[in-house]
Amino acid sequence: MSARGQLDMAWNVLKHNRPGMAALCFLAVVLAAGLLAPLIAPYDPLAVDMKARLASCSLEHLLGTDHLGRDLFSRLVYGARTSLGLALVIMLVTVSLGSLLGLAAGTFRGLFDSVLMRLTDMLLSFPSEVLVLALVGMAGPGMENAFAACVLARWPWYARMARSITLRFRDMNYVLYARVAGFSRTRILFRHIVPGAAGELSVLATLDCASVLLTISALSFLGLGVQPPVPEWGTMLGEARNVMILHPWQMLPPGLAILLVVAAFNFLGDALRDAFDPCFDPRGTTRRKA
Amino acid sequence: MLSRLTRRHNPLSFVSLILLLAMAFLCAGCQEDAGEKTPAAAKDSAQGPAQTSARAGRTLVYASTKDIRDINPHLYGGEMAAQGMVFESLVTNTTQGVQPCLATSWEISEDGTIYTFFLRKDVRFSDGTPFDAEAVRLNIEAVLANRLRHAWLDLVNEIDRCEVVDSHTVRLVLRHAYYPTLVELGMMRPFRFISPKCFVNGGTAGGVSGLAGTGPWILSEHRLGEYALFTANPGYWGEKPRIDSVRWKVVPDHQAIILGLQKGEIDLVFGSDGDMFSLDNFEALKAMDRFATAQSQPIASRAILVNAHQHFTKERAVRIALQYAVDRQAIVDGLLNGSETRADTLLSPEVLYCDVPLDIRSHDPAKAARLLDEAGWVMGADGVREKGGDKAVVRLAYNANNAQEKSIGEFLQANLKALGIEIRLLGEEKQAFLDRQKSGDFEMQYSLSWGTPYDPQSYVSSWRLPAHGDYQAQVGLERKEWLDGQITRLMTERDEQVRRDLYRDILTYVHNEGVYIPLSYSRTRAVFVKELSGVSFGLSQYEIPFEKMFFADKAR
Repeated sequence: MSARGQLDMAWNVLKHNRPGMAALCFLAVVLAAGLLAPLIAPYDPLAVDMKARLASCSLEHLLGTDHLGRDLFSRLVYGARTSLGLALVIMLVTVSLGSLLGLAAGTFRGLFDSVLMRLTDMLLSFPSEVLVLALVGMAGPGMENAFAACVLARWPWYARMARSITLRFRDMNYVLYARVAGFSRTRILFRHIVPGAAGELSVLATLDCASVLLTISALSFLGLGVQPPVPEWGTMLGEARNVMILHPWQMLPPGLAILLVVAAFNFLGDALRDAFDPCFDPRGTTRRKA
Repeated sequence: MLSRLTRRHNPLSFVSLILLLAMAFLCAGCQEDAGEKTPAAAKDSAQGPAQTSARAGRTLVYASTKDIRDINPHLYGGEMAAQGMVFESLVTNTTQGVQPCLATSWEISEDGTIYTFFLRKDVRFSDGTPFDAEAVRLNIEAVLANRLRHAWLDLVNEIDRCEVVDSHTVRLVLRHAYYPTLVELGMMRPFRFISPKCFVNGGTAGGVSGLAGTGPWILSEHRLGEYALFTANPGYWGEKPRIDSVRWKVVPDHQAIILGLQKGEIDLVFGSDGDMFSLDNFEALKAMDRFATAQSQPIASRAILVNAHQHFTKERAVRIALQYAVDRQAIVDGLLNGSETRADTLLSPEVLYCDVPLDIRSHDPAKAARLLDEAGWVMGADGVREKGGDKAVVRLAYNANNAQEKSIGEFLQANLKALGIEIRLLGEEKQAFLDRQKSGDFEMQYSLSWGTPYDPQSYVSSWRLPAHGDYQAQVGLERKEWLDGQITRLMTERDEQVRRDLYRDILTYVHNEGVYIPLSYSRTRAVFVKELSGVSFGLSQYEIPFEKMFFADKAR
């Protein structure tokens, strides 16, 4: 079966997975809200209004205002840009970097492979959260540093995965035929191996998106990630915590936003795993329902 | 078949897992409770049944975000309030001026260079060593041996020697007639007395082997990062504390402190300037029936330090524009809930020598914009001013653990953004913040003056030291050398009128250069349970007068 066909079939399975599709739709809505934030948000998320501090929900301010009188709904919508956007970009960079290195290692083997793998072994021996905290601690707080730390702490997983997938595929018959037919190594890599690896990597990447989002939010919550006044869910949660006793409900909007998006990524990841699993019988879902 | 079975069991096992977790949490909660109660119960029984009903002898639980750390009185690593509980000085600073403490009286020579102190005779350190002239001499010499560390306090540089006259009389010989001598001897550190038996290698600079002082409290237990237990000193020479012991509990999170208060685990929270909680939370607690609150008189100055040695802020016009740009009244009314007084000058006119006529720069964004335009900083297309390709960007550093500094920073950010100046907030851990202060790597930094009794003399004196942010911010000033010279002159000036004039010159210069953006005059605040009486404030924002507190008996 060609790689293309595999993707098509995966989509067919995914289409019928209700939680997966719901998660996908939810994420699309959140992402769209973030992209269209200037149209949706009623206020400038940075506009300080000292007269309307810590207001409660009203028609004027849907979710109330924070300690500087900034509209929480606007901040939540703009926060989707930062939180979700950042998580997606970090994953994109991590996956590209990791899999490129992994594919190269799997294809070319030799010294490059062993050096790279020992490096990943080293990095993998640390828990990634600890590594991120240590890196941010050394480089100082800030969005750029948090970004770099997340990428640095996570690429080894993808390098490992990509390498092992490459090793598995390189001895498959169709790849061998391609080699016999005299195609170049890069062509084989990109035509025959990458599409096969893409499925498995995307499952891991989707699941990991959730944990990256959590890492970014956690760093911002601690004041180490996204710096004020940029609206970010973790930062908002941290700010809400400072008035927890007075206005406990302020924790809810950013907290729920993080919870729902993380849950959505996890459901989507599960659905993708089912979809890409060659042993998975799509009719199994219907049987289970009966 | 098997797989179907497991499938069917899946939701059930999920529910049971959740239940199990819930149980585990509950159990953990119970255990914690039990753990909290056992020591208290043990203490009650130790006091004997006769005393358990009397609440006067109860342990006072004081919560702080910080541990007491090393309270060696001659070093700066520990919490000042804790140092003040255990160690005492020759004289003490009060609202009525300098009063006797370990010295009952003193004489000052005609030329103001020799101070003779007559010591209290009935005093012993808590390890039994008598407090006498020799102990005073050893302690002062131990401080002088570490002169560099104490350079911020000019008295250390002025003391020539300390002589023992007789067993309870000491003489302090100064190099010049240094006018703040008595005030500085009464400060929380370093001129406090520790038993000479605790010295290591004849000194205290490298650590001490014990912590025996003469104060009303004895540090009897300390677990770093958890708690410190102070028990009343049974042999205290003065009025003995009415509480048996004080438990200094470390609770690093501001909200956890408030929760602890509400749960009744904490009796007292005491602190200055957002160290313990933000003003919003203070107001909320004040509104609650269950707690009593207190606020001190304005005690110190909140300000933003503007670095004259950095790009952008090195221009005087820019610094002056910043002064006009900040809406101080809105900070006081909004963020500080109107509970503090707006500051128009760095030091309050009520501080000694500081009633200096200065031009007050009230909030005037139009004027600020004009000043910036005139200085060549014109609005760029992206809403940030620029001049010759440089952007009007400043970094404002603050201590991330302070509940108040961040919101003030964010407010300033919005204030200056309207004017085309971008503030990058740098919330840093305390140590990183202090390091940045020392290196001068900031455009703006949050600054709190030391408050009485340090203001103005010790505070101004410290402006001459490179380790202080004030020095770093001022080093770019044209007449910094003159300024330092004036301060040095001031410290040994004997004529009251000349001294007054010198202060006027110094404060006027600093004000006109716009190195400080004054914000407000801060207060120390306390929240405590209603049974606790006698909560008062010391002269300094760093001391907590535990010895005056007691639990009122509930009348039955």
